[in-house]
Amino acid sequence: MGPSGSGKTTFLNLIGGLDKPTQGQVVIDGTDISTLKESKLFDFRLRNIGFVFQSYNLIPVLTAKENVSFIMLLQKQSKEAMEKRAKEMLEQVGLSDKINVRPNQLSGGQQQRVAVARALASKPKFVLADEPTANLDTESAFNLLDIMSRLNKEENITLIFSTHDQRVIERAKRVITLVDGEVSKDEKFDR
Amino acid sequence: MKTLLKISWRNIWRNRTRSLVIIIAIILGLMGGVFSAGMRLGIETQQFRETVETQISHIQLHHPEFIANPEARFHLDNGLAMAEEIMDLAWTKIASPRTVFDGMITSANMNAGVRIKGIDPEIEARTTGLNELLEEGTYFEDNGRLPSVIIGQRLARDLRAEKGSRIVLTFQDKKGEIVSASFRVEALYSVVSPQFEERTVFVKSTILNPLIEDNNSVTEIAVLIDNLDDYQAKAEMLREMYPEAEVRSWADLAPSLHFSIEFLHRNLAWMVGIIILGVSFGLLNTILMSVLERVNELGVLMAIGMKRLQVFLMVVTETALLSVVAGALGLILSYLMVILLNINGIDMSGAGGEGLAEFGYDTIIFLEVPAKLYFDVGILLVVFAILASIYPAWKAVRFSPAEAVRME
Repeated sequence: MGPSGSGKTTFLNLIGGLDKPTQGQVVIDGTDISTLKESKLFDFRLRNIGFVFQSYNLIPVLTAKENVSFIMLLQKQSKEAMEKRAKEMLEQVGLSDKINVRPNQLSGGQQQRVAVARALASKPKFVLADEPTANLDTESAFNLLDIMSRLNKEENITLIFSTHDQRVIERAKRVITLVDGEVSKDEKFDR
Repeated sequence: MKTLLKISWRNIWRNRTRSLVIIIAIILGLMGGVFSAGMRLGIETQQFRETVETQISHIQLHHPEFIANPEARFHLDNGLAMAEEIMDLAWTKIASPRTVFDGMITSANMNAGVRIKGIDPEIEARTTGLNELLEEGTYFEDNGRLPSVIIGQRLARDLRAEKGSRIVLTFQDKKGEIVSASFRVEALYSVVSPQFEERTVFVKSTILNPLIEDNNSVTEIAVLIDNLDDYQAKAEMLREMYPEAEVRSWADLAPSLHFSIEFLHRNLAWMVGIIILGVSFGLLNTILMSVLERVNELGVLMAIGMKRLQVFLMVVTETALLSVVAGALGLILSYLMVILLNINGIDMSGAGGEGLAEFGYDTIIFLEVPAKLYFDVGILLVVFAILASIYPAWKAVRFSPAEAVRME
């Protein structure tokens, strides 16, 4: 967490392999991703990292199920496996009745739930969520956080949030506070 | 690949109005191109048929002196045997031996200089289709007391003669002596070229040859070949077979027509190419707008693992699909347009078309669009469209995913 301009998004971009550090290393599971060539980095992201963005950023021309399947498709998983997992994930986020609906027919909260399903469907090592509740009303935000908490346990996938939303912080097991690009606090909670 | 196609196809229809506008622009561009090309090709084809097929044939053989002095004495030695030999060649459709020379035609009222063609009616019908050019009368049925002559309608008007009129032909025999003979006008023919119609008369060679005191005289052999693309090679073969004869192809006999056709074919590629280039710029603009509107979305695709090459290919595929849809519709509508316009032809008589006839052009123009033209235009459109998509596709992938994701 941290105020605007503290470097939260930059930090997420660095560990997500979207930006390269000007100095230092980014080591994930023994791999220094800051030295990877672009094509290897694309592959690394595809296989290891899930993303949830503030503005949902679903592919507007694809249905909810196709959006959730998309990363698995890039991973070249079988059609049957994709189909099964996409349905399962949409069920997990409470959208089993919206499988064939396109994003523009979903509310903001529903879109963000599809984005969460998409990020988790390919079973990444961790998911980066950049202010995922920023555009949601209270009910949708609570609903989303409940889902994410449950999936964190059930799917055993680490979720890393950048946020200044107190509702998110209250559920986090570890909170790192950034100020002006520096770690000012690192707290762990047993939740 | 299937998903790439699916996404690309759906992306095209995200902004229906914009896609429909560019599709309509491409359709109109193609129809305009096909119409212009079809019109030019139609005019040239009509003139080619008129000049080459009904007048001069694909290849002609003469005595070398005959070109400058079209007289009976400059005949081909063993002309009839030559014509038979040529007829036996595998690639010959027909070889028509003729006795041709210049002379004078006189009616009761007027006289005029003409080219007299002594022909075998049956062979000539298969060579120039003279029997089908008749507007009035019969084709060498010889049912009168005098031998028959077939003359052009315009010549008949000039001579104030008509079917059944008696006329006199005057010419030199093979010794240079002046000979005159009476004929009856059995029929009047009509062709587009006024010069040909005013200057050419046909009689049977079996009547004409005894008059010039040479029963086997042949001053001209007109040849039609089976494959016109080969006319130069075939003319060359005849030159080797008959070194004593002057062998000329239709391109030698009608150089201005040949130049005009060659020029058209080169011009046509430019004309169609420029239209498609213009259309491609329209496409480029459409795709570029569509790409710039969704930089953020493309950034997300790259962030979640879609490679730059895949995003690049997606944009190229969108353009290719758009061009295939527009191109297919454009070509189908162009084809229907050609069929509709060719039911009655395009009548140019009210638009200065009479003047065209002076140059051997018909006033009713039928569009001529070979299947290859549709095919070439279709391929060219897709190729140009793909080339035009490279810039927007490059634009789409030049941002880093982090930059693109931040853009709204």
